[in-house]
Amino acid sequence: MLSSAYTQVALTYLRRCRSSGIRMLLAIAWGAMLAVGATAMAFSREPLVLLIASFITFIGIVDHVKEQFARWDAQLVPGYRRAHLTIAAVAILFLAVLLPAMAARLAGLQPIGLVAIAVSLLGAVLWCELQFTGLSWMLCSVFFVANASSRSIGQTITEMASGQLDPQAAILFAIGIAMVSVGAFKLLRLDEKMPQPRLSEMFGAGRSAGTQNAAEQMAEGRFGCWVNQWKCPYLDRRMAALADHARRADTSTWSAIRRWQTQGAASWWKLCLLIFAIFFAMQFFLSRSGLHNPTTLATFYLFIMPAAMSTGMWRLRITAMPFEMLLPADRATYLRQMIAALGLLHFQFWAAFVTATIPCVLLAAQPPLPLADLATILLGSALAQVGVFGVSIWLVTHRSQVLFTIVIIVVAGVTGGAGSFAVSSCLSGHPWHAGYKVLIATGLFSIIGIGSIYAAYRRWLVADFD
Amino acid sequence: MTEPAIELRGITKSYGKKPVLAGLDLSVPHGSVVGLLGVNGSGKTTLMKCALGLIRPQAGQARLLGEPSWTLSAAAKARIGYVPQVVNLYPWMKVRHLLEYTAAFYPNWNDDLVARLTKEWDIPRDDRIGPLSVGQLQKVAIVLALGHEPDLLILDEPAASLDPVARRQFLQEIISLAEPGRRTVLFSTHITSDLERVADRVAILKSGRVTWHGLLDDLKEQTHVNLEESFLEMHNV
Repeated sequence: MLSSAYTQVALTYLRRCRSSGIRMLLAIAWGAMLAVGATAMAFSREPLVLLIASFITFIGIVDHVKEQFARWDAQLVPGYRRAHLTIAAVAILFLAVLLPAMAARLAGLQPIGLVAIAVSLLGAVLWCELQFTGLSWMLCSVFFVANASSRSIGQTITEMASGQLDPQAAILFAIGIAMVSVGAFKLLRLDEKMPQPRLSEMFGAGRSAGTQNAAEQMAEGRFGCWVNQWKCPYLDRRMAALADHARRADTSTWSAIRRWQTQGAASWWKLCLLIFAIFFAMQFFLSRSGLHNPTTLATFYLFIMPAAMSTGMWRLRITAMPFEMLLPADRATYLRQMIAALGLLHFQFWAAFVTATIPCVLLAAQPPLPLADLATILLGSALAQVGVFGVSIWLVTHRSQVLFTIVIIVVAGVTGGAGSFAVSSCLSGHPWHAGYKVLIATGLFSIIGIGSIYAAYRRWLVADFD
Repeated sequence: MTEPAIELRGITKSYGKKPVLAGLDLSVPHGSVVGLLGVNGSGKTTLMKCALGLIRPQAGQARLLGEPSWTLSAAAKARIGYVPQVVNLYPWMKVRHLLEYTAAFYPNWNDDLVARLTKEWDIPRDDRIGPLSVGQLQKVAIVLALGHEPDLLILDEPAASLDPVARRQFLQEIISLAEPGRRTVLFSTHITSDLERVADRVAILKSGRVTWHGLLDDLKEQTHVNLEESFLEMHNV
């Protein structure tokens, strides 16, 4: 029985979960969340917990399947694809169809609504995992954040899950099935030169030399060649500046820090322009449908996006650290300057979002945003960034894939929470001084962040670089 | 009496419960070229990383160029070149960008040597690091390690991914760099013919310890066989 290929494939899911204590706890927590979500749906018709738990589990399963398919075994070992596809299909069928349908049945509702939402969530996960990962995840999270604060969307989900919007549910189900079909087709075409790293590999762990990521693949295409030509003069200037900083490091503290900003080539003002364009387009379309206030979107942008982008930059930093450690700078100096360089980068991201979003808010918000609220949002988001930076840098010192995942959850959870708090305190008709709660909360978080930065520095001093 | 270029005393390192180095001692004198031999998983990479201060041994002392490895000064690091077994660099940089960036850190960077090596080894200077093949990446790493003409070179299986032409050129470069006793080189390899061609000393690693260390000629004299057969005999093969 145990020697069957199907059993062995099924065991890979369990082995992945039990390989470390934290991972096992996470798996149990997810399982409990699924069970609680299904029960809550059945008794109180509350679909949110079930959907969130399903969404997280879909990410885990698709990530796992993608890893299994993006290797040579998938091409050469007889029966490999059939066994993996069967087990994945059974797991997904249970989570995306059977579980929501059973929960809806227990609640005495038509299952189509909940199943449609679950299938479309699965389609979204597949799309994000198999398409242009970074951009997809960013757009998906921005869309999610933009709509999370909208009562209309929340109500629509609840009404759909409750069977009040069956025609719309049928359309959503069809869209979800189409996305899943496209995703499955792309999954089958994966080979060992996978087009995208897994989420964990985006942060450096396990990415082998010579593996191409999406940006590298794109750069080899026709469009990529054009982008590269366009980028080349900028890249040359940026590299010349980086080398200049390295030469001046002995005489200038600023240069000594800037020389370690080696995490990628992005022009600050182009970033501002891009953010402005995305923000403007989103707020235009969403405000036309009356779904949100532009200030809400800007606040979430300011709280979440700089932290998310900065955390993503760890990928390049971590893999290159052993190389940098042997460049002529002693360990303590390197670590201080490297942490300062990353902090500076985080600040640059935040400043880019401020520059790009606040003018939009000032121009478009109706009624106009009081200056006291604006100041609270700016200061609160700046303090939250200190907290997030500190906590994430400390977690990353442990260099474990599980902790990388926790970093993402912490970044999304803490900044999202702080952003919600800021929105509810400042923008819901409260008096202007209500914002002090936001400042106290984010101030406390920033103190924790500063402590975490120091703890991270002390830990790096004795940590291995391999 | 001058201190050895590399001095390892009682180095112990385990990963979890698995011991890799068990009280290892090794002393590499200045100006020598030492070939490090050992079966897969014998701890060659761990030894080198402990010597470089990249990983911290649980016990023992590691010194490099007269300084503790863990707290190497910037001046000492400027005298060291290292080629890792798995090369991780900045994938978005072009090769020439990486060379220029690294050169800026070293006051005595030899532009002519780097230009010559990149030309002779057909390294594509305008290609980005990310899509380079493993062999090309290894060539870049070797050039980066040689560019500042270090006093001490530590090479972890540097020729493993090189084609025969590149391997021959690389060995010739090592021979000319190390001649006559100007630089210290410690390199690990599984290709014993390479080692016999370049090294004057050999260290054999087994069960987390150096079981034999001395002049290559002495080893041959003692065993009356070539290096590969001596190595196999020591492992009872």
